[in-house]
Amino acid sequence: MLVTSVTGDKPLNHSDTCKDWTGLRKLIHVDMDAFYASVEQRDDPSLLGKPVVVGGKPNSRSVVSTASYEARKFGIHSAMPMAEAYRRCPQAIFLPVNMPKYKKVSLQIREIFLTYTPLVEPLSLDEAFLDVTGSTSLFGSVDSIAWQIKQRIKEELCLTASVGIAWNKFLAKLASDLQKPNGFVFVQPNKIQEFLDPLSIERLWGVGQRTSEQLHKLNIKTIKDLRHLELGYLIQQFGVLGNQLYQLARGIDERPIEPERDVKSIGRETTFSVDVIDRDALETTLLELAVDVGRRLRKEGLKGKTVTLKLRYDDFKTVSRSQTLDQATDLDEKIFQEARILLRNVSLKSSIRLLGVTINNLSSKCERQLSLFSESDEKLEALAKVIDAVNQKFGEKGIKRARLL
Amino acid sequence: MKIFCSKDSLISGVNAVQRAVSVKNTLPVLSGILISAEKQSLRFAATDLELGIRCEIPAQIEEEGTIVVPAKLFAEVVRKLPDTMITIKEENLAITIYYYQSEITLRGYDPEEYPLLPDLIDPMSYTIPTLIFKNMIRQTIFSCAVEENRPVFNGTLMQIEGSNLRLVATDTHRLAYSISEVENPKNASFNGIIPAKTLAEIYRLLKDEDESIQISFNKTQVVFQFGLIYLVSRLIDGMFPNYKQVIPQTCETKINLSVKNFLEAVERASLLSHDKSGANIIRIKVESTQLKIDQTTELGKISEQIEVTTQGNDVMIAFNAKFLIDALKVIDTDQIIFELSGPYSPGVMRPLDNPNYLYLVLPVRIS
Repeated sequence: MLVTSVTGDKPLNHSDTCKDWTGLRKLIHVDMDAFYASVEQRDDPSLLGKPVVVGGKPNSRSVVSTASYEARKFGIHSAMPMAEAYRRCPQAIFLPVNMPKYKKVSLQIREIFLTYTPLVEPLSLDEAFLDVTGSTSLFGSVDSIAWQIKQRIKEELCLTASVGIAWNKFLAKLASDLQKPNGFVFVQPNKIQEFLDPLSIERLWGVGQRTSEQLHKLNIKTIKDLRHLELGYLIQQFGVLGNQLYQLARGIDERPIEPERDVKSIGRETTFSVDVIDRDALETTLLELAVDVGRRLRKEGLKGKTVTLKLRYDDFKTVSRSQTLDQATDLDEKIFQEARILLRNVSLKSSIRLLGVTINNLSSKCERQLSLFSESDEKLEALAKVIDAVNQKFGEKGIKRARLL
Repeated sequence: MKIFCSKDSLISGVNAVQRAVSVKNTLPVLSGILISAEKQSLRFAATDLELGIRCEIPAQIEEEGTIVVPAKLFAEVVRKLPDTMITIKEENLAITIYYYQSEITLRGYDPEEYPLLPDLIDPMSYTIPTLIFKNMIRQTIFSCAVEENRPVFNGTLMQIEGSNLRLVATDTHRLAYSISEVENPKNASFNGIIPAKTLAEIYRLLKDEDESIQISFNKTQVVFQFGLIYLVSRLIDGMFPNYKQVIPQTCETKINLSVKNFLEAVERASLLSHDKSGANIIRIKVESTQLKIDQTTELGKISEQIEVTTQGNDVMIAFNAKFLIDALKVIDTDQIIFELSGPYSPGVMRPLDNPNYLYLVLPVRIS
């Protein structure tokens, strides 16, 4: 049997001890079904069986975070503007995003994963890769572990997950997506080609709209078609991506599971409810974003050296500008000052829809090059510490800048 | 215009002015070199409106005239010319270069649109020996800031007071100071910040056979004349901070050490201290007669130990290795005195028996 998909019963007994797995990793990809919407439906049974859309306000310009499967029947999907979702299904129940709640549930799910292996790589709140290669002697075969995890999520948290099992990340993720919701797909190493061949090339990691158009021009529609192209030709056509396509079409992907990913950047952005062109108003929002980014940097004990400003105009044209500082910082003032300089150098030829500030080039080192002729940051650092402590105790509104009142 | 000259003369002219050609020009004409043949002399000139360089080159002039030629293309053409006598003719905003039986015609720009390099009106002027000035530039320029957020640090402070000429450069993490005694019969005085780019060009163009360099200045501009070159530069606007205030007058630890040994030890230790963030920090420990650098990183481990003579307290201090290496490379003496005052105060390097140079470097705080 190539693939098992189950929607309730225990899978047929596979033996992953068959020699096909020798030297191969055993990976599981777990993807929660309509996660945010399912959590809401679970906590309020009156929502069960109804179209539920989690996102910003329905009449605002924000987007859909998650739509329940009932809502998806109306063509509603993630990242669709809320207004469009409302137009498609006005009777749907529109709920705001309750991030703390989803985070809490996500941690509960992770606790379950961690009872089987320490090698858990969360991709977001609702999906993760697990490497159970070393766990099978303790907990049974890979498919049995995957089944136990799926059952425990169902029993302990009343949520459904789709799981994919394969020897690498690419195949496991593809597998979990294949029979959503409540799917269970197992890709045996000797059946990889059978599994991949009929799939369309859009399923391949790295194939976006442009690559897929290019491939379609070459009359390549399925992974099988792609597999007939030579490596040299693919590299000539697509460069580095060509090599990736060649490997993936053969089900090869050596990326390891990375349990703890280092934070690469910390940022915040916001979409205005009405487009803004007034510089003063933009700068106030910028300060708000900078204060938030600074607070998070300090919370993580990190300092960043590069400040990036992101702007989206009303025509959706998006620009970003960066500046690297002399010294890494975690201070709201410094982040704001740099972001403001960047903003002042951008022409406001039309109004702004979205504004964002990101800081990257992060380090946790506390080494600091001392300077001449510049005001010491020590006072500002002490001030930030006190403000953080006060806000920690009294909530975000404990101490606020006058400009943000 | 019609002139005759050698390929070498053309190359020397192009080389002298090319770095003043504007790179990010808003005016197309500024991407050119102004060539003018007047009164038996051929001149090349270029400017980016901050720095302007004019150079005279040996040529025989048959007919006067001026034109602006596209700098990059002209320079490339000139370098590829055969080693022979070249004839250049200008007609209708185009320049034709003749060599043997061949010719190249390049389209040019209207010289009327080219800005004049200013001649200072009623300037103060001052002459210094080339060798002294060149060495002073070499020993200070590397301390100028590269980041452009505080313009005064992108230049070197030049001060002329009585018989003293001083150059001071700092990027706020280190400061290099050089002073020389120079004749100043007219008692000129000057205090201005010269862009690092200008000094770098002077350093590049100054030849040892140019005996002296004449400096003229007013409040906003400075002119350097040497050999066949006339170089005019804008001064950086702003107040240079009071550098005298930050130079420590006392110290807690005085170390006498060999420049060569110290430089080599620091260079080796820095090989093992490179990290992802680009910082290159080394820890120095001074204990009575020894200076130690012990470094353990993911890459490996090094322990350097050099014999030194010290007075005062033992100390442990961390520096950006680059800041030490930069200075140790330009110090001319074999020995230096390195003065320290605990882990958070500036370190000062002074060449032994030479009070005319000083390098101050701030440590890195590690907690």
